[in-house]
Amino acid sequence: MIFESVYRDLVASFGELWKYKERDKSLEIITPYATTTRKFISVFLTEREGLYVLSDGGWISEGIYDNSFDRSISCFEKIFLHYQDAFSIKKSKNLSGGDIFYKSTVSQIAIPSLIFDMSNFISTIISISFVEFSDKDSELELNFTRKAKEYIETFSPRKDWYFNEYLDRKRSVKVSAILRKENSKLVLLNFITGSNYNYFRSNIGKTNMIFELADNTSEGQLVEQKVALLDSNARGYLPEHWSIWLDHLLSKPNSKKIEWSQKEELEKI
Amino acid sequence: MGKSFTSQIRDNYSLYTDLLNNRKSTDESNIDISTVKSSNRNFLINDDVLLNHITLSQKIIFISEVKIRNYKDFKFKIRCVSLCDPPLFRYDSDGPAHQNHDENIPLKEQSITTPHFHNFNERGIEIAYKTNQLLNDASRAALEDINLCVVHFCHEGNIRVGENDFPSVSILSKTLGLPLLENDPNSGVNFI
Repeated sequence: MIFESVYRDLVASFGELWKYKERDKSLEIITPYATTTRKFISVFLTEREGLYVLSDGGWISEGIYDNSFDRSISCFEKIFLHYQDAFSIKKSKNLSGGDIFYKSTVSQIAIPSLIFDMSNFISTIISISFVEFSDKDSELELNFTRKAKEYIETFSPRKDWYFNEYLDRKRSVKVSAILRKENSKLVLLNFITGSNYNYFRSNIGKTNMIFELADNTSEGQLVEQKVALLDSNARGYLPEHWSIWLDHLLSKPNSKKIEWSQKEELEKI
Repeated sequence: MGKSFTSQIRDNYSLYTDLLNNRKSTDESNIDISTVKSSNRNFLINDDVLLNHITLSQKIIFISEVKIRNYKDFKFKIRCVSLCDPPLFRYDSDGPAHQNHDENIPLKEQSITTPHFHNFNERGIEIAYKTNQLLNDASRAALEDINLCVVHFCHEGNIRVGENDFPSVSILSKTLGLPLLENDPNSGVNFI
């Protein structure tokens, strides 16, 4: 046999990656399967009256791999359903009400095969949860814009609001909303949301750019105030990840923020 | 979240080692973990503890987290957002094994089970490791106590309260709830 020592080392190396932890009536089996974020997959074996169960321990839905688990993202959901179907994965609820995924068998000889399927399933689902799908954020931005517009129209139907409109005659600087006040001065509003802190931060950056460009237009001298409206309900609302970006935006003259949780402040601008 | 490579650490490695290795101190003698974590509601968090570095002025935060249904599943982290998003240094008492992905390390030695610490090497790659205390069965069992473990974390991360003290940790101190210790994730689940 050629490469015999390499082959034997390969088999032994993979074999030594299998590890375990005892957890009351379950055995945590740490497998050689890993995620793209370098976490080894664990599956949890237990037995219920002759039925062997291999579960993910609820770790997918609980984000234990530092993952997200958002099934409202349509791309993610399609891949998830494909894998769930391909590996015939069942679902139940754990004590905290989260989803727990599993396979079961009455045949002890089938357990390695089930571990193979569960590990492949978990590894893929965790890895794709780190893919940034843009469709989610398009929907999110649309919904937040709609919500903000509806709210503004409840208290200010007569004021002169323009939504998703260009500030300048050259039609180069577009903001989420412009308020034309009675004294002919303008207030610019840009809406900021994001399904994770990366998107949220990126939208803060875009808003900063828009406000700077607005200052450079000939209409900029009419701008009295520039307001960043922050979606404080968004999953990306994690100030510890973007506060220095926001502080930079607010350090510019006539700039302020309003958080959606204090949206009443919009009535005072 | 979850990335094992951080370019800011690779590009500022001497700053990173200075932040991590030199003395950091706080005035907070007790850390009460009682706020539900906004990005993962299965955990409680305290991210209000500020650390003062002996020479540097960067804002450094000491973060403590505990799983609501298993108080033996906890994490300590040191974060400095002006350097990078991921924690500079962390301890995981439970959770998945980490792969130290390096072609110079034999594959069978790349898996580091929990409990373990994480830091970064000069290439910005996140590395998990066990201290001698974590490799010893008796001391590892003792470190399942969050109050003993916080002292170990502070030794390893060079953190003190005042001159030479260590913080204590409480969980939901203003409530009368008993500690939850659900170590078996299949417990109570209805499988068919």
